[in-house]
Amino acid sequence: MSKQLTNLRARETEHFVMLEDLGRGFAHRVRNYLGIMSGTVQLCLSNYKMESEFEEQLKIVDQNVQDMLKSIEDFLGFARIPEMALQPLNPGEVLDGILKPLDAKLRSQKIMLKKKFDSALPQFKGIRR
Amino acid sequence: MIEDAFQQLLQNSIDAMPQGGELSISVEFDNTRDVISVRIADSGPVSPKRI
Repeated sequence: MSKQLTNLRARETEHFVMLEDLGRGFAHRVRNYLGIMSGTVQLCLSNYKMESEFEEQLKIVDQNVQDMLKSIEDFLGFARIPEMALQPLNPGEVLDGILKPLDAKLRSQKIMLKKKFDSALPQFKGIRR
Repeated sequence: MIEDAFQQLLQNSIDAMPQGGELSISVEFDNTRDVISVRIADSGPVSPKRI
């Protein structure tokens, strides 16, 4: 049962990684198109004379494009994979942290837990969950 | 991650003892080799030698 659950979790993780890659690729493409739109609008505004009403309309278009670009930059910043930083961990604390949520199950199944941790365990470097 | 590995080992031990039993965890530090050893043992049924 736990093996099936592990497989399911692995598939879910894989699915989310693929979805994230697709989302990031899509955001990059949209950003490129918006960049072209904004550049073209700004080129028109600076190089061509036009009626003030049309000029205002183009400025509104450019403002909307800039807002959208900002949202896409925010998304890409969020979607960027964070660097995994190793930090000092205490082996006893790590194991106690894992055991705590299992406590109820141990009691309900009448499993006796015996712990024997050395008193002076050194820290090791790992990634905190 | 190392926590996931330990969690899976402990979960497997619990699953192997639905009628109760004993789960022991020991952590030792060997300063001559600079090694931390974690031992997880349960009183559940052993795996057959041939599967």
